[in-house]
Amino acid sequence: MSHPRLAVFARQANGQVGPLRVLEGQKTLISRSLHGIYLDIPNDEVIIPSNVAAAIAVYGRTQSGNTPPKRVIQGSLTHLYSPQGVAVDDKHNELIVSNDTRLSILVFDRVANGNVAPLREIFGPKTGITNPQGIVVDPVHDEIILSDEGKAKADPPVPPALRIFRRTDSGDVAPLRVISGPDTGMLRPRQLQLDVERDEIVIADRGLVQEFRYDVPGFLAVWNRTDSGNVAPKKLIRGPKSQLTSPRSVYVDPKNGEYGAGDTNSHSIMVFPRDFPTAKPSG
Amino acid sequence: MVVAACAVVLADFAPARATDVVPLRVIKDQDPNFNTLWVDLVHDEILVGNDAQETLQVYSRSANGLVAPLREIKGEATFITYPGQVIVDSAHDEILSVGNDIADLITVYPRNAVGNVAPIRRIDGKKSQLKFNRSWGIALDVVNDEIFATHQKKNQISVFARTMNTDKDPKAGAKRTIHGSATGLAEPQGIFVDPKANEIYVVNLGRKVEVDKATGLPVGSTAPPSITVYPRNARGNVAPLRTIQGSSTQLDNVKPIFVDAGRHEIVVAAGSPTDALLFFDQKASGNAAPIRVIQGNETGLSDPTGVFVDEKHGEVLVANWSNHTITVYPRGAGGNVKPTRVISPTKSRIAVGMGNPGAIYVDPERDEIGVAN
Repeated sequence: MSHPRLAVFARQANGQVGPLRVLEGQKTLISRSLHGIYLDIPNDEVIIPSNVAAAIAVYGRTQSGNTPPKRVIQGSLTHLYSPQGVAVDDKHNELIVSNDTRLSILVFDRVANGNVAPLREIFGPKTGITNPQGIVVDPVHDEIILSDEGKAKADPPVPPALRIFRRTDSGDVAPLRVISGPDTGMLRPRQLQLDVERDEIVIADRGLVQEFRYDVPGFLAVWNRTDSGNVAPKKLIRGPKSQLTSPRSVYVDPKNGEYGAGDTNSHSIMVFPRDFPTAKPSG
Repeated sequence: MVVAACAVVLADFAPARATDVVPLRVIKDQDPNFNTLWVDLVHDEILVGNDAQETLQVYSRSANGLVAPLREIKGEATFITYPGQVIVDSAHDEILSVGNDIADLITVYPRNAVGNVAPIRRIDGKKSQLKFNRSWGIALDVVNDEIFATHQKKNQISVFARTMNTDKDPKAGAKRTIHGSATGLAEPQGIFVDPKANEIYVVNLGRKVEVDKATGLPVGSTAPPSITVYPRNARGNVAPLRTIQGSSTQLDNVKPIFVDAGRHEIVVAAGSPTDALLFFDQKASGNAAPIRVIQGNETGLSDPTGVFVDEKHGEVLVANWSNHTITVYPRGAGGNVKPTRVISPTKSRIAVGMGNPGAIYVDPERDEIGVAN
């Protein structure tokens, strides 16, 4: 939206509370349509993509005010075009980007800076990449997991999916696994996280917005990392009491046993317990 | 323990079963975040756009202190979503609003509309012949009966007939557009048309992507912010008449723009953390310093995103996104000046400022949540 910024709140904030600090202003390079963020704790950095400037900017973990990034990847060699999601692989020292308009996944050296070419690019028709959004990397199982909104208006329509690639894939390669199909309930998956403790994938799905009415509300959903095909999520948070209407973003907090969700329509952050009774299958 | 503490309602939602979990905590603003404003000098009212609850509110022009809005337009029928620039068209007794972010929609209401009212006209920017691709700024030229809109991610200005309505004519298109590498448009925000000077004024944040014709590859770039000026009837890939850009300009994170025709000044508001009103000579060009600046801890400016010069009453009015206020200054004022009036529907000056939380993280070590807007 037109107030681009990174605002940091106390984890237990509740109600109408202001941020602890804000990173914003022209020097930051932070721009509208911010659809990805990654906190790289081992390196004390925060990584943010710039959709409108085709750039990846890296900041100090507690950086605030109108201050410039530590590093910026931008330019003709980068292949960046509407970057959406970002993730860091600290084991292999790589930065992974979901690249929307070019329909690719880019892998850079973690400390890449300036107009630099990616180390690898997953790109081409075999990849099935149609509308790439959130991305995570799993260095333990050597996988990259991408959320893909699909394209309902294509002929034939491309359904939304989670596409799982080998971490070292490059070029025009088919995914290792795809989670997609009517039983998944996926509508427009956006940010996702890997719950490494439970080996689960957690996504925010923004639901369907039709003429500005959230007739089909969004949700948070959980799959086993190893799921494949037309598989229903093992857990799903959705409904009026959840207050979720169109969640675009999600975090997993194993330490405190919580999920967080950012909601487009209600302009809010909701925090849910990571453990809750699941509904039994009907019929 | 956490499970026992939370209220849970089980519900079936096709195609997958769902659990309707009550959140443990919600960070949310209950008070309006003023994103834009306009003054109706005929009816002595202030119209503001509020993107926290997605409403348009109307206050008395002479209001002061803690006051409730006179009326409010809100609800599903209104189609108000992320309201950008608002305008009161006193000549035709209408209100215009543009929906930013996911909306891509211009809506028009009767001036005295209240409640959950449907717009009387719409320009649907999601139509294939329009493709707004994110619009925050609109301008109205009542002399020539035209509406101007900026497109942030498309680096374009579109000009529509004032009465265009895609609900009645779904194939209606722009009368003309300004677009191309010569224009200097780069993430354009606010726009203003001065029919007397016969010019268009646009604020640009400077970021853009162009495709290299030789390689077919995208090239992102980041230039300093600018104000570009075009002939009112410009079309196509036209160079600006004048460009204000450079280190002396103090432009930073600027969104709204207004021309004070009486004083021959361009007024823009620099957002947080700069929090300033910048006044330029209307004919300024190049790396020009503002002729006057309102900035400082006494001003009450907090992410100013709407500005209007009321020549009739000699005032400058500002919508502040980050403290729930409309602040009013004497026309011609500069420096660290206190507002002559502060208008707000709440005592709270704490704004969550959530907007569209498109990505989040948790920092378990520092016990923090990061929210990207």
